[in-house]
Amino acid sequence: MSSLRLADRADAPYYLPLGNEIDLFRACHEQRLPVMLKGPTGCGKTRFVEHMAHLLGRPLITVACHDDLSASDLTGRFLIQGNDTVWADGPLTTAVRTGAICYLDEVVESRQDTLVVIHPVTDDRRILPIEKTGELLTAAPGFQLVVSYNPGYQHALKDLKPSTRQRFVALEFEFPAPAREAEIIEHESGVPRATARALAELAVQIRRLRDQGLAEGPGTRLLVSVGRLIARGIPAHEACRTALAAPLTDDPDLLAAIDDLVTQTV
Amino acid sequence: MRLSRYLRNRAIRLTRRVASPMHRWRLAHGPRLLTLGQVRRRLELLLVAMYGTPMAVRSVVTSTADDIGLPAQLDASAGPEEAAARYRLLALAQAARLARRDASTPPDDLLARDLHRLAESAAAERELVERVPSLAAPLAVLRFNELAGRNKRIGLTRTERRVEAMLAALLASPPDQLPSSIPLCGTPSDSCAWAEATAEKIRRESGGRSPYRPRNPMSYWGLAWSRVAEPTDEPLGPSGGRGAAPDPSAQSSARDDDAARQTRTDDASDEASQDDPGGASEASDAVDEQSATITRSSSAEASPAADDEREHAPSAPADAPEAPPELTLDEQRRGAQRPPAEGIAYPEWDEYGHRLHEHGATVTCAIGEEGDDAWAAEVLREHAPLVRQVRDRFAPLRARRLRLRRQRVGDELDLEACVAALTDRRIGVAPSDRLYQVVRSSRHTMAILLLVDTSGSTATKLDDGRTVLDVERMTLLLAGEALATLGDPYAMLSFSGAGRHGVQVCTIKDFAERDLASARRRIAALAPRDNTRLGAAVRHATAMLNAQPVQRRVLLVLSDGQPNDVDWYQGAYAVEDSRRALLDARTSGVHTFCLTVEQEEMDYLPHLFGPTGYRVLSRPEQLPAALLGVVVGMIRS
Repeated sequence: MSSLRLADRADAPYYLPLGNEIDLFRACHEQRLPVMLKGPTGCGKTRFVEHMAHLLGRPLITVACHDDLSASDLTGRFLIQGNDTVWADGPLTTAVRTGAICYLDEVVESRQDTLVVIHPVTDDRRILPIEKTGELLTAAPGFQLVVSYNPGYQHALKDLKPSTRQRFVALEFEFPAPAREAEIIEHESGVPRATARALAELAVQIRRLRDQGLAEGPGTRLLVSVGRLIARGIPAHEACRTALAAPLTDDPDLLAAIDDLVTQTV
Repeated sequence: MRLSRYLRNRAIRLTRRVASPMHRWRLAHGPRLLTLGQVRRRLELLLVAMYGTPMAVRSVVTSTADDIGLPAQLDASAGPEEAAARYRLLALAQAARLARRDASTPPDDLLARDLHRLAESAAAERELVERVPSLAAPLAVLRFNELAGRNKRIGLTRTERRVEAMLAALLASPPDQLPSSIPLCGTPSDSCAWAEATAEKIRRESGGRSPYRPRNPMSYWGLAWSRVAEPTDEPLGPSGGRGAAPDPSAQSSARDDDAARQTRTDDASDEASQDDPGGASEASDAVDEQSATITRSSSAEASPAADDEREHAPSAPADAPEAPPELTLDEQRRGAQRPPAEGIAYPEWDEYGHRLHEHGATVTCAIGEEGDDAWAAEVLREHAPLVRQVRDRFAPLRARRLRLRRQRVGDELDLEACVAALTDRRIGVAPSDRLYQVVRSSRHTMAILLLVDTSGSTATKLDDGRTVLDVERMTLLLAGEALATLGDPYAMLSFSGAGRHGVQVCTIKDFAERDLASARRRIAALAPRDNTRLGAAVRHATAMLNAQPVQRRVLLVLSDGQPNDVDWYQGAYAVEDSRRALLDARTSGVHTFCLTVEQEEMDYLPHLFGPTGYRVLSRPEQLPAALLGVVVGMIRS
């Protein structure tokens, strides 16, 4: 349901800035403003949050949102241990208490009524009322709420309420330019520079098929996966077919066209 | 009269029975070919991905200067992928030229135009192999084959020999290099300037006495050159190409035969389209597709195939649905007076007598005839983005199972609520009595029935050349995809009328049917027939809907015009009976909605369906929005 992850790695997670998003995020953190990250699948939103948590020296608590997520899942609940009842903080409460960065991934997947629980902690009050225990928590200084979602495949029935949206500073992410994307692929997968460039160029071409029936173009994460397979010794064409084309679509014509692109690019 | 009609119909059926297996056998055992239709979308997708703008791939004969023109079929004896690779190479070579285009126009002078083509081909192909180095080798082979297939320079004028030499030098050079006679032109404007200057220079050197005829036609390389049919065997004149002196020895080879054949085909198709602007376009397209096959002597691969396909061509109508017997009006009326033995009687509202005839009309039910699989496959392939859009928009509306927690009454205990209640009690808080959970559908289930008018008026042509029935068939196909995604039970019926006892309702897809392929074949076989006796068809559809165990029922009528039939079912009588049938349907809880194609007379629509109960479509592309709007409205209402 939720995962708790602390930024305890010695090295900062690799992240190549695309613009001034690091400065913006840092400014939001200093000003205690919640941040919303918008961008396509696999463009580096989660990696960016991990990177920033490390830079700012804050623990990072990640919650993967879903349809059944309840307010108790975020704030906490009483558990029975032996003959006693014990209160267990939820990830949001933990973050508020410890001054961590709480990251709600794919936030639109959760129900709108659930998200109302974050409202008091995202405005200038920075408080979290816990109904069950009667506590009124004030957020520790380092606490920051970060949410992310992919506007590309949202539909009318799933969206954030305006009253939720307007609490955030929105940072928009796009796929990196080919040269930068090649640099990321090379660093993350270990393939030679030429192969990384070819994969980045291939991705640019496949993303143009977005309006031709492809639900979404390949993300950098997908390209890194392909690169890892190639670095492991899998032939490039086979790696592209299995880790790039097949996960993207089932449409035979699209698959054939992507295969043609792979044949002449990689 | 009846006997002759009977014999004719028997003969048609017998011919079909024999011809269909033969057609299938030929497809299975004939020469292996890859047709353009099989790879068209794949190529268009590839070109969009590479150049960022859509480029239409068409047969070389029907294409325009803005399209990619390719042969209608290629030999696939070395495997379909090898043939697809050849198609890909030809498409990319032309796309590279299209991508270079700027605001300049090619020269009008034939000599300068050919020089411009030489320079543009050289530059575009160089750019292509720089971008995709792996294409250098196959492109070199393509050039070599073109060079090998060109005729000796016999009977050419001095000017023609010079251009032919430049062409030969280009074909002999590797694609990433330019021959010394052709400079590297950065833009088509540069090519234009060089071509005009070089043409002027050649003319000056020849003293203006050497005429010029275009270097057409080409084989696979330079397919685009042949797009504008230019007279290669016109009499030569001193001005070089236009106004010409005869040159009987020139162009004596197969190239001339090809040119003549090409020109004849173009003329034939033009004549066909002029003589029969309404009906023969499909046939002329078929001729174009066949004739687009390159039949050079060096490319023997296509010739037998083309001949074979030409043999196939006349058998194509055998797969078409049988034409309805040509009954006269009187015969129809006489036949319609007798209720059929297995019909279902429905009432009909008599507007003039202000009473309801209990047995006003008889509906005969049948399963729709099945047509070819290929039509639906082609339409779905052609409209793949639209289909995906339809599916994407309908998928979220699918009724899902929803687990409702913390209910006072439910099927099973909600463990989480029980634990919470227990802990509340222990810490001294009043526990909640909501301790159960229940699983329900996230929304009401719906039964949707599409009722399609297939009366004779659906053969009417629209502005874009398609018939109303074409639009209806495509709408049905897309609606089928959408409704299948939605997951609710749905049915499709077509209806027509020939008198009060001659209402025919054909099942395209029944509620219980799960096989979408059969429904697609039946949609493909829909053909216009008879008239529109809407009231009886609506009553029959309502009865079918009311038999469905669902919470909501929706009747969607696809119609092309006002209800009418051969008898008194005209004007106010027809409209009022239809209105009464629709009112009865709404009273019984069926939501009615009409999707109709654009037409002149639409005043009756609000009278029948209410001010918000219909939507006028001009293009099938509007269907997703229209259908989604209707379905969402029904779900939320």
